[in-house]
Amino acid sequence: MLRNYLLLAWKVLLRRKFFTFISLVGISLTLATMLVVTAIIDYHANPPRPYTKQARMLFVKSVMGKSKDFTTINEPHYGFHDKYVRPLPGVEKFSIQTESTFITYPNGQKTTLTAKIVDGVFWEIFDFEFLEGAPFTEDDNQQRRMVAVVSEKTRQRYFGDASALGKSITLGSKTYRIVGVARDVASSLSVSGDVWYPVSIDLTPKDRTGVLDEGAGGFTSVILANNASDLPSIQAAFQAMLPTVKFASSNIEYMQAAAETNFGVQAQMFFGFDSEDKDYGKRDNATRLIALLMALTLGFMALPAINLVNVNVSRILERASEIGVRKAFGASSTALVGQFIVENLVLTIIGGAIGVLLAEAVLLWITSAGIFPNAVFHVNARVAVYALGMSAVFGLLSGVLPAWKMARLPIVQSLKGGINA
Amino acid sequence: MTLQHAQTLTKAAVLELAGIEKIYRTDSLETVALANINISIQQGEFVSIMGPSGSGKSTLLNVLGLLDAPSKGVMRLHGMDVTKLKENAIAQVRNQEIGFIFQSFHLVNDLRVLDNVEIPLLYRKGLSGSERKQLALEAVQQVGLSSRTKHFPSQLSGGQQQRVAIARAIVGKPKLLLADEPTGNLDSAMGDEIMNILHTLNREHGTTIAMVTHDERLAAQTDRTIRIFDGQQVA
Ligand SMILES: Nc1ncnc2c1ncn2[C@@H]1O[C@H](COP(=O)(O)OP(=O)(O)O)[C@@H](O)[C@H]1O
Ligand SMILES: [Mg+2]
Repeated sequence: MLRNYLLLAWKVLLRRKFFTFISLVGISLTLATMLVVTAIIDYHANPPRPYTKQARMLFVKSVMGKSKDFTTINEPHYGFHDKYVRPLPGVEKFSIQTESTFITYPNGQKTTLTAKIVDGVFWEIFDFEFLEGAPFTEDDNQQRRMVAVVSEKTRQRYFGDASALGKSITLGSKTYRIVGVARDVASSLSVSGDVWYPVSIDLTPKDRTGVLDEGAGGFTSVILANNASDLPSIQAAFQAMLPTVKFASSNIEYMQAAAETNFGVQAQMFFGFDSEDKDYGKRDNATRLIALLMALTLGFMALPAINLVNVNVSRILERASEIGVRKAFGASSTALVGQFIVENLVLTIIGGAIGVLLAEAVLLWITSAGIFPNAVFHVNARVAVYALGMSAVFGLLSGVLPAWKMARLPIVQSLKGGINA
Repeated sequence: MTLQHAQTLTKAAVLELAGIEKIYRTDSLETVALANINISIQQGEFVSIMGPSGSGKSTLLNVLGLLDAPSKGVMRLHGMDVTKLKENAIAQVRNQEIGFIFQSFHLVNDLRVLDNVEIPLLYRKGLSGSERKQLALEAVQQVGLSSRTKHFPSQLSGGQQQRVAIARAIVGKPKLLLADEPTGNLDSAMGDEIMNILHTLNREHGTTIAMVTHDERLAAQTDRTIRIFDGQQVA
């Protein structure tokens, strides 16, 4: 039966070229828009290298500190990550980072460089691709060796096409020997940077012992678990640890924070930081963001869906006599609803496929125009499955209602030409 | 009444109507379209139904064809009470037993001749695509349109369209053919062609036919005429 429906759908769509064309334009444009947005979100939710192990990663970034008089939301000190987060059970690898910007003048050109100041384990958690040399090690970090990794772009700025290995780069008052060149990653990913050097070099005693609100803070950390399934228990251990934190030199009484997945971190950034937020660190921001995105998607699709419902109603009304005839010759209402739904699904899925092609073209353009520097966007398998699902929902939404309405119409009335005839 | 009894009673009757009534109710209006209709149509009969416009002929034919349910009364098809059947069962009975021909042809404009003719077979289980095609080709041949199978309805004359509609009505080899003014939209030459086909079906295949017509000349060619006036059976 399905084969008949498909064949019939094909014949009808070919025969009604104008309707088919108009519907396909509407469906494919809507889906293409959604796909472009989805692909960009997907890229950031499931980023490429160096986030290969992202499914096993948790991030500790901004925390909230509460005192009688004030609330602060800040990235904590090195000491907090080192003393409280590092020892949590289930943590396989652990890395602490901070960042800084430097204004430099390579070849007389004023340049602002973002320096990521990291330990050696950082390079074991994030699998950067090295064009030259290798990352510095944890031993380099411990021994405070004056070494640095630069990005592809930084190498270009300083040395043109020549090798950077063994050459030096001066940041502020310090000069580092370049040991590796890492391929650029999209600058919209938080791991991106222009230059990396060992965190121990700059650490002050205050950084090492401080927790929160004693001086600058500004450190973040990444946890790598053995298994993605270990993440919830690590998150629970993190929450259990928070009440044990001792605040050395301030009147902060307690803190709220979370060890979040990369997507969770981005969701928190999306929702913003509010010092009035009583549930800071306790909320599932990732789920909240996904719910919001789904709601937006539905809202965005509602208009074209309603439009398609309208087009379908009039299209099906036009075919009242066909419905009457089919029923007269033995079609059940279910068979007719099936036929119209298949017709609509074929239409929306073809629309979806065109939408995928359109979206891919737009993403190619976004990539080459550098709107998100260094990011390469595609409609990948995950996004394509999502697209297919969305077009199917779209097809069902816009097909079921009119089909059902029409199939319920008494035969004699259908034969006379429909509801108003 | 036992089933046995019902069967002996209606031995040769294809259709039996007893006390059939059809009332259309709207908010303000009640139209008695059919009142106390008692008809029996025998196997192999060619019956015509006549009456003035608005007298209830189409309503009667729709009731006969199970396209519309009567408000009251009993109707038996091959002895089986069909007034109590559920929608899907009725659809199957129509599919297996009855073929329809309409005044305005009611072909599906988006489908080619052969696809139009195939329609009743789509709702019949156990037929393969090639079997359906074979049966449709035979039906098209019976109405003399073998050279037009790939045309769309709009590419055919009225008479040809009605012949396609007849092919569609007979493709499932129904025992009963119902035609509502089948020649009403055709000139007399085309009308005669259609009548010839109907007579051939009736004579050579033993198909029982009930046909609504305005034309005394056509009614005269049938075995018997049922006359309706204002929803009442007058002959
Ligand atoms: N769906 C309907 N609702 C209300 N009245 C109807 C409906 N269909 C037919 N009628 C009325 O029933 C009567 C018989 O109609 P019909 O059977 O179509 O007549 P005929 O075919 O003999 O011209 C007419 O008065 C018509 O107005
Ligand atoms: Mg009529």
